[in-house]
Amino acid sequence: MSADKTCFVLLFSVCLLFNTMSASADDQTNTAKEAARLVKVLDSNAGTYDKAMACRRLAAIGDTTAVGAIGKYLGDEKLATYARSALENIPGPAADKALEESLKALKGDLLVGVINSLGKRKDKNATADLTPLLASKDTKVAIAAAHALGAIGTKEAATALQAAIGKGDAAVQREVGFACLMCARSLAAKDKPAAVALAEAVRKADLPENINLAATQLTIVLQGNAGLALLAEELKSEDLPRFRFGLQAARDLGKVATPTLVDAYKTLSDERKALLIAALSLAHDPGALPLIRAAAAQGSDPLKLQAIYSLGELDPVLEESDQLQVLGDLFGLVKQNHAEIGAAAETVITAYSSSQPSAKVKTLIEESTRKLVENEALAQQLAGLQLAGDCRISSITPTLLQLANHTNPAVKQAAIQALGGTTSSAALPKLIALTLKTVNDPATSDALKAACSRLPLEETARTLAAAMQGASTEQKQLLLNQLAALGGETALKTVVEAARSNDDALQNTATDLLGKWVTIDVAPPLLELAKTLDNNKYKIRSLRGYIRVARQLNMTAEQQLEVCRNTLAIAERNDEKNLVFEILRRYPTPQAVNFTVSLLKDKQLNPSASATLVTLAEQSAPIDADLMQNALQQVIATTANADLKYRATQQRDRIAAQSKQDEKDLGFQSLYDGKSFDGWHGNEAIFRIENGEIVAGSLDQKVERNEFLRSNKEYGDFELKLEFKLLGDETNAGVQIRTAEIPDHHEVSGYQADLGTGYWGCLYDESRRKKILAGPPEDQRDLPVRLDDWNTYRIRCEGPRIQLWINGVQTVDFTEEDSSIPLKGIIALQIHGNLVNQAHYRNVRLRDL
Amino acid sequence: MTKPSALNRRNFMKTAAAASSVFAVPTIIPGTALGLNGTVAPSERIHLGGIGIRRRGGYVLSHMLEQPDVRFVAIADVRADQRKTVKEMADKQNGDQKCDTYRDFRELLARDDIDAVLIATGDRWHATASMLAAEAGKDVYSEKPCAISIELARRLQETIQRTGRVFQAGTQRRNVSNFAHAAKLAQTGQLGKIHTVHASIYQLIDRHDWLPEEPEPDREVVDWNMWLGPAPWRPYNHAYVDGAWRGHYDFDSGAKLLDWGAHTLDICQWALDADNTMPVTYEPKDVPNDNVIECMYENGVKLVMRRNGWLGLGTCPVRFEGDAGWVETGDSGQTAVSSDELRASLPSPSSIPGTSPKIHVRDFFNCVKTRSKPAANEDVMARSHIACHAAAIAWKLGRKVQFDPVTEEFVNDDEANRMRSRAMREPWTV
Repeated sequence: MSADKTCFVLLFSVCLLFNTMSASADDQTNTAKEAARLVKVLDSNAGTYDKAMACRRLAAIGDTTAVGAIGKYLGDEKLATYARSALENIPGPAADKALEESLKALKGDLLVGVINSLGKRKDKNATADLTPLLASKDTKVAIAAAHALGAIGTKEAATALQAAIGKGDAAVQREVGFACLMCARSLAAKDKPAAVALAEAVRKADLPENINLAATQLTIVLQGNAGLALLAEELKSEDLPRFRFGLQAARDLGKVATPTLVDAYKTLSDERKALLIAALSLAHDPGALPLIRAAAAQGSDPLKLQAIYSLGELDPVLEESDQLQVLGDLFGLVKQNHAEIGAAAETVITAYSSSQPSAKVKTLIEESTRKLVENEALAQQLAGLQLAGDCRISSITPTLLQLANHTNPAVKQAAIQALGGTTSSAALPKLIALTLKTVNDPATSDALKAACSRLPLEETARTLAAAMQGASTEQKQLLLNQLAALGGETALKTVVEAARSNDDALQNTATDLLGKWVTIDVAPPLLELAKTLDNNKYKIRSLRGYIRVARQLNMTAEQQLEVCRNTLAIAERNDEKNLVFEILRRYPTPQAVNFTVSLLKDKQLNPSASATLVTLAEQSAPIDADLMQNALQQVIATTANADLKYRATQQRDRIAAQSKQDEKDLGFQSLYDGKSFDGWHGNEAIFRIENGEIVAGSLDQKVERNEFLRSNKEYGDFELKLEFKLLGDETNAGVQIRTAEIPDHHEVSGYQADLGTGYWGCLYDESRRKKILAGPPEDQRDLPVRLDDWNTYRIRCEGPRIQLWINGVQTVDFTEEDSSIPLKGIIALQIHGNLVNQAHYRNVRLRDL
Repeated sequence: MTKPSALNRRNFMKTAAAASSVFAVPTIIPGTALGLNGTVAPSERIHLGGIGIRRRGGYVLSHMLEQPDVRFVAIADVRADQRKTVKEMADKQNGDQKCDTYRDFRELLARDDIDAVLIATGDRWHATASMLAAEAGKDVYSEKPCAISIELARRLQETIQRTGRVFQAGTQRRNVSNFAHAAKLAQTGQLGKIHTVHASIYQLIDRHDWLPEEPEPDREVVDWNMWLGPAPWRPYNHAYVDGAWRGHYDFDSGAKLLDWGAHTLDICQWALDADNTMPVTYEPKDVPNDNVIECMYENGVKLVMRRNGWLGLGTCPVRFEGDAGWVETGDSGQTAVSSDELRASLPSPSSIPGTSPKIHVRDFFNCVKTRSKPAANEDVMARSHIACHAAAIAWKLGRKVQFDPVTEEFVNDDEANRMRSRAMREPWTV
């Protein structure tokens, strides 16, 4: 792949990370430069990919000056779409013009594309050119022209389209019809009569039914009240689709259509009455209530059913008195011994009870339900039991507990199920006792689970945990399942205790449940169990459960890494070790990349770690380019697998080329030429150039005092990137920013992006406040750093804000509050005095912000 | 056009939610009322066709085949192996050998005996195929994301309204009880005044590279030109066809943000009764290596799209926070709430996972018959999809953007507005 290709890829991804809030004058110049470069690509003999990506980027940033270069590709079968994407988005008449002109030059599919683009731009000036194309012999062209005119949507476009109604082949006629409707819809706001006339013209034309129906619906809706007569006619139609579209129009009209619907009702078949009632209830007009109640009382069964559900639909808009009447009707229907109608009525009663009913409504439901439960007729009793549970009527619980021992299995079953809905905290021990008596009956445990899922959490857990006392293993297993479904502190504690018990069956159940726990507080006990359990099976299961927490639950990147570290420390089998790499692949943070790199050193883990890093690169994981390159370099240096080495090399080269172009586009410039100290000054007895690197200090003897290699220029708002390598047992160096020279002194004064043992990534105030201003907690400072090796520093200063990253991991985000501190100064590379150590710096580059 | 008011929609869903959460009754309109008590006369069956059906599509189709009033009569797919698989699936259900197969779905749409289609291709095709189907007089169930750009979401909505078709987006969580209950807690004030809602998203990826060119297969085996459809040309590579198209700009939606976002932001809109609007600002947060986008509605309610920080309640979680409490739920069907008081109103644990379209497909077919609007209709789809795209654009730009929910344009932001649409490859016209 050419270098050009990669540069385009990054435009859409990496460079966005560096984007700033507003388009400054500088940005505009950069954009213009970039656009000019892309135009050159289009004018060159670059490959298809490069040109496609040039068009893509120009769609976002190109202006009139790019139109000519893009227009050349409107006739290119591979690139036409890319070119049109650009032209569709470039503002100004030049793009319209380029598209208009190509209308004459192009034929067939490519012509269709251009017509579509003109439609997308709603280019009114193209109306005259598009109109004759409606008569094109190429059906696709004629259809595209119709769509484009429909999208343009002006009166002129409408006139052209209306004149074309009924002409051409069937497909064109259909599309012209729809295009007319498109026009009518856009004209409606400004010129309703014209819109209605156009919709009428389509309606009266000899066109397929689906267009005619759409036109009719539009004609009715556009006219509002004046459309009701036509609506009434449609509702009388023999044709079912026509009737249905009438209902659709009524829906769009809203409540004004209610009287028309009610009028139409009487003469309809029951099937259509049901459809009409559904439409009426969906309009939520309480005016429809009498008709719907009547249908629920007297209609044929299917109509009754629809009416019952529609009564449910009306609930939110009904007055309390109406609700009470409706509920009276519904309880009446429950008693009619018609299974399906009874079930529907129960559903709707439940809906009323669950939508914050008034006290009177609640009482009515409760009393009517109680009567049903106490009814001697089986069907009614069963209906009552169902309602008691679904409406959660807790006062019926004692009756239900009795019926749970009923001789009739249907009654027994229904009562148990209802207990799930009615049981209160006070009655919970009784339900638990019932459940423990019948450990193998799923009905009771389901009921218990249902009750527990809505009762107060910790209180419920304590009640369940208390029942563990003296219970059999089987009963305990049931309780553990219930506790796990509940979650929370007490539940966790109880299940963990069971995992530690010396009952194998309980351990089995408990470790299984802990492996499915949904909150992360399960992680510490699982780690503990993985370390301490004797039984290997449960030990491994606990470890896998522990890893799962990091894979699936709400953990921070830090916590996830901790799981990885802990797991690798105790895992004995490759299976579990490999799961760690799955986490690292799944959450590609800079910390994770650094951690994975650190694993390369371990011979056993190297293959998996290498594969993980290569995969991350291949999937374009959102990782800082410097960090990723560095990581891949380590893979190349350490892997024994030729394929991985090849892939790593490919990715490293891709990312390197990409980031180079990226930095160029962002305006990064090198501050160090690799061979001289041009632009710098300092003690050249200490600072020297070796292998193109800036080196200071020695590994044989102490550097006497702090020394700094200082830039000649000052910098205010900037982003600085460099690479560093520190050697020595105890090291210290750093990068001064916004710093002042102290005349005739070896020291300088100002911020230092610090480096070295105990100070990695901190912001230190050198010779000024003489303290660490910000930085990671002490025990985490060396986490991102690779000792004795190359690392990257990224330093960003903007106004009072200073941010630091080492190897892509942010270590500082500091805002200066002392307004007397200067926000401008030199840059200087440090070697610290009084230590035997050596600092290497290279690849120093900067861009102004 | 009169748009259905928020009130209608809300109440419809509230009742549907109440009914489904307590009883798992599909929707407000029972089968029997539509004439499907037991057996359905062949003449009254909805004739269904399928376009581009593989894994997710196959799962949705399996629920559609269960419907007594639906008969699946034809499959169109660019892959011969998929045509065969789906035909076998349908024939087995229908007890005959009559399911027709097409390479080019336009032949399927040209049949006038087909009432509705299931569209489950990759993202690049959804809107175009939906619009062509609507103009051909078919009702449409389309898998999400239904539109690959803001402009297409808008046009799809217009086309569905203009043609008078029924449209259901495959955002089935609107018809899954635990999501419905969580939304209800927010809508009915049980969480107090809502200040923040959270929508999960998956890792964002925006690839612009081309996979290495491979020889194009015979088009009767895999029709690459048809597979690309309205997406721009690029050289063939088998991996795209096998599913590796995800994350590629030309084929995916909003840098993959819509993969989950089309569901989760949609549920947030619903919970806020905000189906007729969308957030007005979208701001990607500088959280290292996490995708966090904070959005704000005009009334000050915050919507946070984020990858991490969820309880373990399954995929596609959402969370609603008010000044009196919070609720969080996900695909496992479990729901977590902030207080015992809120626990008290929880429906019994559901056995239907968030991924199940069981009730959602029934909702669609009911509406095909009654011509009412299903839960994830074109209006609901357009707004939540457009909001997702706006968030993805903010992420791509790496800065805050402002959006006007009425004009559906970014405010004084040429750069962002130029990301609202892409050209469609010729000769596709909708």
